[in-house]
Amino acid sequence: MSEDILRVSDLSTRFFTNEGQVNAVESVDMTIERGEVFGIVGESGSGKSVTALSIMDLVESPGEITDGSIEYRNEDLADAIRDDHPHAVDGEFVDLLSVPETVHSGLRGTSFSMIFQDPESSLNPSLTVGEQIAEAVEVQRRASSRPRSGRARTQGVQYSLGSYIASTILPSKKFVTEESKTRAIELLELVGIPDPVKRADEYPHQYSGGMLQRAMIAQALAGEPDVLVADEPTTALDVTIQAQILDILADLQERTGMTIILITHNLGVIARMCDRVGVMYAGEIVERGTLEDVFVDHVHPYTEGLLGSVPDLEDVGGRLEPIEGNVPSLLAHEMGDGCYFADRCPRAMEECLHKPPDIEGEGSDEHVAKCYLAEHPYDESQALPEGYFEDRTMGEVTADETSSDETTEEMRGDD
Amino acid sequence: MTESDRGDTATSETLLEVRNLTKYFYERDSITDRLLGQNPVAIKAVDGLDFDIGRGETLGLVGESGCGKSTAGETLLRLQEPTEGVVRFDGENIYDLGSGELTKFRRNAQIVFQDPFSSLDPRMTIGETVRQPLDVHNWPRSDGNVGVERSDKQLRTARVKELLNRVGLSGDQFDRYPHEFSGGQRQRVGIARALALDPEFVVLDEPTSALDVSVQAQILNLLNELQDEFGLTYLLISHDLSVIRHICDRVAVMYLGEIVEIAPSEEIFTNPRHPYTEALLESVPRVNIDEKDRDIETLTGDVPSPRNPPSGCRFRTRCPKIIPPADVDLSQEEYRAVVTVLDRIRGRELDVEGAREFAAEESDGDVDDATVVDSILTRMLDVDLSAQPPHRERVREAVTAAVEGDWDRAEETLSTYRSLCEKVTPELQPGHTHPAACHLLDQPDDVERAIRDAEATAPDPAND
Ligand code: SF4
Ligand code: SF4
Repeated sequence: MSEDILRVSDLSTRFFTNEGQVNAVESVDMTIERGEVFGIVGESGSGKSVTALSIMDLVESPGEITDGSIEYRNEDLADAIRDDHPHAVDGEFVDLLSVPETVHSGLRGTSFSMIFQDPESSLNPSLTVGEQIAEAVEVQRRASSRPRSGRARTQGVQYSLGSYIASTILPSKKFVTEESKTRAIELLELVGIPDPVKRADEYPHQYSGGMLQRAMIAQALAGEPDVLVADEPTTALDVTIQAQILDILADLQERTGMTIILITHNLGVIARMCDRVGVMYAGEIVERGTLEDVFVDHVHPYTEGLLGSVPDLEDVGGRLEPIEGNVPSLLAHEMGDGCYFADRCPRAMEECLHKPPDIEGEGSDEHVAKCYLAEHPYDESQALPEGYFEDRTMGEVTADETSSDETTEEMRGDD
Repeated sequence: MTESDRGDTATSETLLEVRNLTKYFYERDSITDRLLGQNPVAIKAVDGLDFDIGRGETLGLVGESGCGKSTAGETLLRLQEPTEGVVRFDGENIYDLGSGELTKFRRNAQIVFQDPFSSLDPRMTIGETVRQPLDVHNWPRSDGNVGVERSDKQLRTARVKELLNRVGLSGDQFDRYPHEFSGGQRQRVGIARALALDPEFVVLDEPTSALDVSVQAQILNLLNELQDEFGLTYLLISHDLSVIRHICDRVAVMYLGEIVEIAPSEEIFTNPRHPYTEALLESVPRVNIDEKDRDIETLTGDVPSPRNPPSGCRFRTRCPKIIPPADVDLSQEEYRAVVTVLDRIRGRELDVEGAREFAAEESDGDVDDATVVDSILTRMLDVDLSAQPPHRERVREAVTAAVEGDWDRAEETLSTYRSLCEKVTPELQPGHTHPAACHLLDQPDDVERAIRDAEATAPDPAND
């Protein structure tokens, strides 16, 4: 097993909305190894995108990271920060939630990069693609041109943030040198854009969807990030183009050794790309482990439901086994103390009214599920009476879903 | 082709016959454009579709974005007027219907759209939304029924509540507004509305694409039940092959406005005949732990623009099986590389200036043509042709001509590499149960004749 690059513990992100507090991400734990592709799978409103934004420090008001730590292994950064923020440093790890905001966000582009479902969100329509990638290259150059020691590094990071803002807010070609432009063209070529020289001078609207996605990847790679967070990177694309983009990501990962956190609702994409995977539901990682743990040895009924909902390309017919009901509201005052899946779970038992902890499951030693079924088989004598939850929610069903829909839309933005 | 042999195995009675359905959109078609003498540019969204749908059957129309599948769906419901072609519903050409008959057709043929968010009017309660078609068609009077004890309004309300219950909502939700509903619930409303007038035929245009998988599964199950219960005939338009396979009896695969293959579902999925269908199926990532080890040959490039579709087989610019001329002894990969150069030269798209700039940048000074040619070749040819010296020389010659600005000569130099797939348009085999439009398969007589003609006039590369 290779070394950990990111340790996320007890991460909680909340949104403070008019309807109340929304627990978008709830005590998430995960460890990401250097050079792996870690998958986070879930449906809309599961908190997967907010988890990504939290890692990137891109959560916007009314959202806030309220708890937990995100420890990032980076020796240089640890050395640079140790004097001023000793509590944030643990060996080679730096807790990004304990350092000043500017340091965390300053790592964006250079240590962490993100690509989105919708390339328009990271490409400016009024600048050529080449200019924008060249700017990202410049940001990286400035960040790393500072001496890699002591405080200077921190300042470098801060400086890079300044130029990052300047370059996005004040689009100006003066940041772009011939050298960075050449690098931009190389990057475009690397992601498989034909005629990169000509294409570099074109504007985003002149690109097809697949080409834009490539351009965004090129932009994200400009800073030579350690970790690439890819949020639904192929969801808007056709399958043949999706296959190309996944190929490129896998290939780049292999060549550069970067770590990828891949967020998607598509279990096939997870299967194709990931070594390990976490399944999110209602803000929690309800099951995680190796691909095999989750796909074959899964214990959580939600994981099972998700797998049962996907029509199988290689086998026709039969009824799908959907998960009945709807995603809960995530409003703190409605979430209750039990398992969040209990109201939809076909095997809910008395004990499920108390929140299950992470319990080890069969398979690899990393396999855990927030479900009592990992501990013992379903005990019918303990089953909750039929309609147990309906009695509590009936009549309010639509109202509940309403708030769930609106608040989730508000908070996810790009989910 | 005669009308009976369209390659459908539906033994049941035909409900819908589509013949040569064609829909072009025109760009540069304003008065100013005409005054300036600009010719309008046709976007060939749908280009000559032929298929039948049997009563009670589900036909799937699958393809990637821009292939024309949604335009086809809308045109065959006459929500758009066709450029050409005939659609017979129950034997009558729907484009010839007078207004009374058209109203009747509209009752009988409904559509469910992809986006349950934008297809519902936010200011109407869901009850009103579902009732609207009943109001518009003056139901139940239009059925010759008049309520004896209850007013039309009461009858309609009762009908709406029944429909809401049937699609898994509750009649009590009549007065709620769309924003109070989740995506899956809104799609149920859309389905209830489509079923309000008891239609025979429903076009489902990406009905679950905006939904999460667990909700999608609920809706797919519902659609299946409703079909059985009401004897509905479906045309399911989708880009999602798994959904198509799950629901459809037969499937038509579209690429750039044309059907390239049509067959019973089982056949398409277990024994695809067209290289595009194969590639499409291969591209779908499987939910399986061995997925990582499955080798897939990804298609190169993007879908070309329907403004200017490739000549011959429209898939040829991406086809992994494009047929080289008999005397060209290159591997598929090598041949694809050469053909790509040829296509780029033909489109005058080879970026000579870019290559010159880049080469200058790299070597810090002016560069001669030969260097530019090298730069283009190393960048463009992702396949090494060095094992194929004569071919490599030929390609170099062509690129050199292009760099010198003589595009015609460049094109001429590579003309012997032109594929049959670009010269002759393949067609679906009439009468076949599983037709596919590809030259690798037996082709109808007129196509075979065209192939012979093309080969007879082709310059012989051996004497070149
Ligand atoms: S803990 Fe109980 S309710 Fe929750 S998923 Fe497991 S069995 Fe179902
Ligand atoms: S006709 Fe040629 S290019 Fe078209 S699909 Fe068949 S082999 Fe491929």
